[in-house]
Amino acid sequence: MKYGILIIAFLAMSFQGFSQGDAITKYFNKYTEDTSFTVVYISPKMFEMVARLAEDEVDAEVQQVIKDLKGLRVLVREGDGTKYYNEAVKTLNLKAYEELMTVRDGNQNIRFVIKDNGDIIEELLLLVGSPDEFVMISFVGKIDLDKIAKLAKTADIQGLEHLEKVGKQ
Amino acid sequence: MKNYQHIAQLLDKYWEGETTLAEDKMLQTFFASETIPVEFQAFQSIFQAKNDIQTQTLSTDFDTNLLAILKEKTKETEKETKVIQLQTAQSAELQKWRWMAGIAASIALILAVYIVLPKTETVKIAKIELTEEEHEKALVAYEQTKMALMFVSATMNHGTQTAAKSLSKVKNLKEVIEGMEN
Repeated sequence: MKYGILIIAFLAMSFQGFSQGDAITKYFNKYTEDTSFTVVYISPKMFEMVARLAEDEVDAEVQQVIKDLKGLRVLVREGDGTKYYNEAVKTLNLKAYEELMTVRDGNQNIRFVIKDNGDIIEELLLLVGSPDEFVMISFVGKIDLDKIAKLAKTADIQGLEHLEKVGKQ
Repeated sequence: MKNYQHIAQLLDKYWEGETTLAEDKMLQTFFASETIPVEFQAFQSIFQAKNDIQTQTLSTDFDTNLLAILKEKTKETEKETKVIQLQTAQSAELQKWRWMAGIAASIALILAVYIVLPKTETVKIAKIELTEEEHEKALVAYEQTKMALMFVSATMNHGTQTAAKSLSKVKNLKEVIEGMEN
């Protein structure tokens, strides 16, 4: 009986895990071949290698966040951002996520959603859509939002560039 | 004096161990009397003592006292035997535990060997430097991840700034700002 419950719980967990991952993976795969999209996928294996980089090659704060990450998918498209943003919101099962932040600033839409397990955030999905740009970023692993939020504040020029860029849009 | 002669004869007989019970009694009564000639006084104490012993009676509560003492004694011995039994039981348990501890220790040792050895191996693997190609890929992956993180971070901060500017458009505002301020 105990084992039965365990197995059911395990199956339920794995199904949940699959369904989430699949929706995003599917969506990413849909645009992998589309040359108008910039696609980045970093596998868990790759993150292991990143973790092995020498200390002087990386920023300590960034590496602090990266060491707990298991996967990254980035999808970027120049132009028609709003269209793709709306499509993504419709296609992805966002109800399975917890809404962290939704911002509409002029014609730019930002949506942050997370999937957590207790206190630990296991997935972070960011959608940005404006007439100029569509960005979708999905992080999987153990995500520390505070540390991530601090990155841009203590950031180097690259981070500031992004901040300014985002600010202009 | 005849009487005394008779006593002397009886005494001789007594020393030989040939007196009858009646004759013993006669000697006893003689020595119990107060007028005893000097020649017999040396023996007086023997017969008086004998007399005393015979006249001694057991007190009425002797039986109950004895029984009580016996009972107590048996209780004590029972206790002692119990203690002994307990001790043997404890030592048996102790031996069992020692056995089990021994087995557990050996299992722990074997497990430790199996657990620690692969770990040290993985540590070694982790310390092995990345190949040139892997290193390059890792650096690219790092830069990509960093950019993505920076973008997320900046967007997050921008979002909170916008949120602060236009309260009505934002959900979960309080939580987010609190989260950012921490």
